Amino acid sequence: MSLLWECLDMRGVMLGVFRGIAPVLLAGWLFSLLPWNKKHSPLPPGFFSRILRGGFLVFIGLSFFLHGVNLGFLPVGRSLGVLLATTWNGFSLIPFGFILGLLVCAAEPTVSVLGQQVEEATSGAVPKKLLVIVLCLGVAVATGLGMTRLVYGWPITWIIGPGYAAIIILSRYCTPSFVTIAYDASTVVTGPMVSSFVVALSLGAAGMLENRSPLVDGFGLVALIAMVPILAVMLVGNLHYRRGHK
Amino acid sequence: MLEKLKEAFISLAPVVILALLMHFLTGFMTTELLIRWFVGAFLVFIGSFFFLRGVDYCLSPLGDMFGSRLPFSPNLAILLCIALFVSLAANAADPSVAVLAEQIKAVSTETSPPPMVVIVAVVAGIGLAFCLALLRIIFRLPPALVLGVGYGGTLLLGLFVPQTFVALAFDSGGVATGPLTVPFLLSLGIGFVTVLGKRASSADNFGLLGLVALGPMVGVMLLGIFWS
Repeated sequence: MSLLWECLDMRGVMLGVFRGIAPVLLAGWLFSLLPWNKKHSPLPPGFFSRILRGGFLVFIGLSFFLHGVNLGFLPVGRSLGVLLATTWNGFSLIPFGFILGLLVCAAEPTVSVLGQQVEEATSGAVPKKLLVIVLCLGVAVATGLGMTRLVYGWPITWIIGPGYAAIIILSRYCTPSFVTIAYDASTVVTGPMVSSFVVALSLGAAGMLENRSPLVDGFGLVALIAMVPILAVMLVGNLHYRRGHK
Repeated sequence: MLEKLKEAFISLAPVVILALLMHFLTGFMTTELLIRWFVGAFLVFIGSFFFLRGVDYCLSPLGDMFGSRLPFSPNLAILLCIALFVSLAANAADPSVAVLAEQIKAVSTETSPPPMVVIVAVVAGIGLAFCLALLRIIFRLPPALVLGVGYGGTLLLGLFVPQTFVALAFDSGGVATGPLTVPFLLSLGIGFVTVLGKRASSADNFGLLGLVALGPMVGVMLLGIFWS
């Protein structure tokens, strides 16, 4: 019965979401009242009633979403992490991480948007499919590598350092527009699924492994996954494109 | 509308099925956990659907309104104050930031800072980095250079940060640029650039999110340095 009540009781979440959304909408309304804004192009009629209706959708959506994450994704992610950390001395985390990364990336809707963007920026020289495949494999390897790091307790800078160094060196060989597309792409895969389920899994595993601290070793996966699209766009998008145009 | 429904479903289904598969192989979930998984996944599905619709109707037009009117502010200080407040408010409302707070709560120890302090560092980082990104657009600094210096500098700063903060700091950049922050700041940035410049060099449209993602990293790193 207490579980049923927990599933139904969304008051706390809704209050939190309301406190978050209300200032944004209020700021929008107040901003439009500022004197120098009135002189410029007036807002289309009914602008704020549409914003309010949209804001209601955001409110409902975020409340359900956060409640679902707290109710299911975090505890199950943690338990799965604990399970993997106790199977084969934790080495099961590595292949599982690979598969998880592959699935998360393949399922992320914004990944195909990035593919489209790169296809257009290269006027079709780099097909969308190519970038998506490279991204999925890249995220899979990054997640697997992140889990390996967790199992062996390597410091995160050992991977992030060379990764960023490679990005900075590569960016010297890219056209400016590609550099910006690449850096912006870092947010593409690290969506809600990664920051809820994958992080919970990694923290759960880090808590179970011997001599590993969740704070030091459990975090870090998001950073690794965020590096992949930058590298992928620079390597595949730009270098592939330039080779074709020489 | 069906498009969004499909999008929300596809982004969830593989992971939901993967966890169930693991359950059938090992039986790691109790009945309670299994119920939580189904109810949670269903709520996340419905929630993402409503949220994605809401982004189109509310957050994107609102961001665009801010972006296309901010350049008319009487002076730079007012412009930056408004940009700072708006980006702080948007980021504080982001579900990913709320989830991050939950995650930190689950693992925080007596010596680590309370989750709320970390969240303040993250959100402040987003706001300040967003202001810097707007300044970059206004003063027409080359984005590639700014990003290179920014990422290099962040990496170097990371060497001086206590171990307990490094991984969290690098992660917070990816987490904080969540599903609310990204479309809102992106449409704000695009509106801003469109009004500011008829020069419209394509490189100016972007580089915004990459720079904004650095904010929380630096924020949490600085917190780490001053906390200990």
